[in-house]
Amino acid sequence: MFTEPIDILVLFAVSLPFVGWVERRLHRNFLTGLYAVIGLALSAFRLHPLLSQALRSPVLLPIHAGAYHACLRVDFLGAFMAAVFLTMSLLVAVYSIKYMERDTGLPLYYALLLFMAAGMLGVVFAGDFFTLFIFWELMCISSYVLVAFRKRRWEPIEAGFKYLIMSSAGSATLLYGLSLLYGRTGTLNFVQLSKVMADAADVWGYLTLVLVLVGFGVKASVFMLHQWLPDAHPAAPSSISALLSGVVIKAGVYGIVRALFMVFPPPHFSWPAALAILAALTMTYGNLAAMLQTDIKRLLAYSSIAQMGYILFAVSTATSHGLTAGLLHVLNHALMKGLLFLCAGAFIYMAGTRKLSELRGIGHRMPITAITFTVGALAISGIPPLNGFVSEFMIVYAGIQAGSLPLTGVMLMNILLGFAYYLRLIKVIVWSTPSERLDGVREAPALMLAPMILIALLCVVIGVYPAPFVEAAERAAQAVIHPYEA
Amino acid sequence: MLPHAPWLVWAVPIAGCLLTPILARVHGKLRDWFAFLFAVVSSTFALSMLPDAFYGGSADIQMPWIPHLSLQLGVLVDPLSVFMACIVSFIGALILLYSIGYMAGEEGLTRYYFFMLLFIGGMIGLVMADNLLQLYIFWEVVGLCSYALIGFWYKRPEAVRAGMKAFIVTRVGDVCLLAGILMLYLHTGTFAFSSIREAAEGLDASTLSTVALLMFGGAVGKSAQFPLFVWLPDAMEGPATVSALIHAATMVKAGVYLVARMYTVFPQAHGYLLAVAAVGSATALLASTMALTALDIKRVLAYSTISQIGYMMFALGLGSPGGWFASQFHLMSHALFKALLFLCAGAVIHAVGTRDMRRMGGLRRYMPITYSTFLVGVLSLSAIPPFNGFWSKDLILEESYGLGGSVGLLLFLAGTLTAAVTVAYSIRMLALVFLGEPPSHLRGGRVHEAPRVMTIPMVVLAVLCVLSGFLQAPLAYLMSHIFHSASLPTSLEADILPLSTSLLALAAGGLPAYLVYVRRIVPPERFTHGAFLGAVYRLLLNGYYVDWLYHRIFVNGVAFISERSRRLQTGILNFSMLLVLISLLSLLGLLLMS
Repeated sequence: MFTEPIDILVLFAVSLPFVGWVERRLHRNFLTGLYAVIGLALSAFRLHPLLSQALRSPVLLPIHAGAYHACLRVDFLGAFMAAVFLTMSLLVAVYSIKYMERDTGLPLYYALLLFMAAGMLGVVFAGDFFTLFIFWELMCISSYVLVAFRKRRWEPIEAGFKYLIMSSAGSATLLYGLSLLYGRTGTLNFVQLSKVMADAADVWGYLTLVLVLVGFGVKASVFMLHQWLPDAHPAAPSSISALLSGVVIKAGVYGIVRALFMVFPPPHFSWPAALAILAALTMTYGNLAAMLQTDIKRLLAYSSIAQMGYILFAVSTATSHGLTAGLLHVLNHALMKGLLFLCAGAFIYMAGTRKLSELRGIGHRMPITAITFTVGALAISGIPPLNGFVSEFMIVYAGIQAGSLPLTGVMLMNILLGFAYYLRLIKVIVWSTPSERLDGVREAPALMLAPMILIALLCVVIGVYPAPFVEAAERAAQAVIHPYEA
Repeated sequence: MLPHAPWLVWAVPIAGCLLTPILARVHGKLRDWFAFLFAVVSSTFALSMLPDAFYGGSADIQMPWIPHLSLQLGVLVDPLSVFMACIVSFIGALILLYSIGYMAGEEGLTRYYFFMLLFIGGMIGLVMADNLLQLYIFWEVVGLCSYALIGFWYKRPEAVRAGMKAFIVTRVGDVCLLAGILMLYLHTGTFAFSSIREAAEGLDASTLSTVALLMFGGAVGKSAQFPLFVWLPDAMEGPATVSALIHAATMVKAGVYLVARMYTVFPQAHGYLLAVAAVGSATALLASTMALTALDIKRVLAYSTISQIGYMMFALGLGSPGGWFASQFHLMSHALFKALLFLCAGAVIHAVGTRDMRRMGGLRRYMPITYSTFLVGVLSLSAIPPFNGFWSKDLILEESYGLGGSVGLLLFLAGTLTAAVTVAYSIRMLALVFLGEPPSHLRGGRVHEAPRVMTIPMVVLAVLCVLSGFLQAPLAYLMSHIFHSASLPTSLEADILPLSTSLLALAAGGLPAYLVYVRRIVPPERFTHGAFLGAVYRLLLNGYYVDWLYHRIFVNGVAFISERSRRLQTGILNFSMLLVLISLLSLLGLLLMS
């Protein structure tokens, strides 16, 4: 229907209730999870040829019977993002088999997970804003329900509701911006827009830009548009938190990058300075708010806001270096934050609490989880030779290169702030004497450990040998900066 | 040179650290001895590079790393890097031998050996790196090891806090260093030491001094210089072996190494040398006064380390090849005698069970070997001829005197004053721990000499403290390859004025301390009371309140702002939507304005 990776995900998602029925019959409650993992793996397998095709030139795929000349256009930026999204979704699905074991409604859970992945893939594969918006909503709606998945408790319901309202407001703002764009140019196709919008930098042009930016910004949790995030990310099951913080907010970043570079190109639209200020505010707020949190997941959620600030700062340099650094950080943050949430999930799964004061010293009861958690925390604090260092130093370099020294100084200060609370987190989890409350706690099951160990290893590998990943990020950046060159 | 020595010298300890968990599975003893063995192999490789370097051979060996950024993984074999690698690996091996006795029976020894070996590998990697980026990576790796090892006894909350503090404070410097490295790269297009010098010549003065000062900021953090010295005294919460290796002999010298390495790049940077000299001499003097009042034996040694590194910095700040050489010479002397002093202190703490010097005394009787080696260390530290500290420190004073002018004179005076204070606190420490009558709880055969596995490294270091002072001429020949034209001082010139001043300083500091702490003509407690003396005492005891001030401003300040910023998160949906609207309007305004 669209393209194989998306089709496979949709197909597996709609057939999941049947598997759920079989599962109930056979009393084997890992079947749905296994089925979802197979679906995601197949999709990832079929993504591979698309990836290598997109590396050469953008792949154009018209959608049959689509309205408004809807089409898919897979360039390397889209393929790069899709690879990140699918990898994380697959690892999270593996983790979920054990983590979600005690929950009910698993067919629904996995179907939503697959739909969310399909939505994210569609967003990054879309060749025009119409297609993008359709998939955007598919992703959003699935994620609202997933946040509120544990519906017996009040917190997820409230968080999901807030998320729903704010995200819908964002979508509406985006839609309004798109309608202005369509009314003005008569097209929503990215390639065509990039040709006609260059000389439309007037008040209406800027209004359109702001509406689109705010629309995507709600998802990317930019400062002042972030208020849903500290509620929604902690309230979701940890596997979903890992996805929300790791990749779903990156869809917002993707939207911002796609719109700002292709539709509102930098020399004609002077957005870099404004975006840089916004980025500096976002990272500073995120780090300051994370500093004193007492709930492990809430702390990680605020830290995600800060990390979005780093990525947006990289984007705001509007240079090839900056965008490369930003996209590499998208990959790295997906891994690091995904890892941290999965570890936090393991702690919560075994100890039954999210409070840092009650998790004190749990690392001694769960040494492998503790080591992977420490790797993630050190990586995100930018300690070499781990992956976070590579992209953070590239971002700082891009900032210096772009000549925005004061804001680069702010970024460096923020790295220190983030470092401080991650050290505090390590101190609580690893360097404390475990309390009696944790006496019965043991190491997490192997099925949960496997994805965590894999991601931790990736963090080390990217840190020690970043060349191929830097190159991929650069190709992705080139794809959007010079969209016509193959 | 042994084949591939420049790579294997740091790869072997790192490989060793990865093997420790496996060896620990087999047997604890095997792990301990293998850790020592890895360090010995590493120091064999390091020493094998010495002859080549001595006869002026230098090499820059590279392999591709991130071709996309034209980054190479490289090792640089030159007199400076080989010299540092030898010190690190040799002292590392001795300390790992000592650890077998000192750490016996501790919990979590796999973690200990893992990080010790990683540290040795990282530190050698740091000095062997042929470019700034690689140096920075190892720079952070050794910082990580330091953090993990300070907090080794994690059951003591103060140890964990000290580790965090060390990591965060040094990282303030690291962030400056990173900014400096990247700015330099932006303007020169290279990280490599071999090409950075020519490339930096075209830089305009203001950029060059910004870069130089930013990078010096990194050195200040790592080498615990004023105003970032606050972490080192607290770092003494770690085991004595860790203090000896990381916080005395090697890691804290990384800053000195960096400044020495960049010496040829930044000579014209405006104000840079003066900043280095000023920070160094101020630190030397301030830290030595703090050592006068500290009650914890390891804290005395920590302040002393800060002070001695200050000497090295200020020698580098003189900006002459002679000063540069003097700093490296003193680096070697200090690495030997301070490692020795820490190991002796470890033996004492091991025997007595406390670090508080008020609960020690008269240990000379029970621990003769520790006493005599400690005495050698103290004499070296106090720069009494013919121990090594005398030769290197007087060379620094002589060079600063030779600089002339008011700056040179001021530096010379600061250095001489520091020398006087150094003798005073050394005698105080010696007297409180080893001399006098033992307190009652130490009597009756409860205190024993350390086992041989601990005393052997101490004796080796003590012997070297006596001998290494006479190695100035060969060392000067080795280092002269770095300065193609200038000749380095192969011996003290024994200029009558600086020499007699510094000997006078020894007497001026030593005599009062001897009378008070050894002869007890005036009880030492007399100096802690009274309106003026009491105030001075409290000022010094609290480290000039720098720590307190930082805590007030940074820790409490950030906590305060953080607390305030949380008020923005009301959780009220109406408010959130209002913020969306505000951000929409303000963004539009911002964009239309620009």
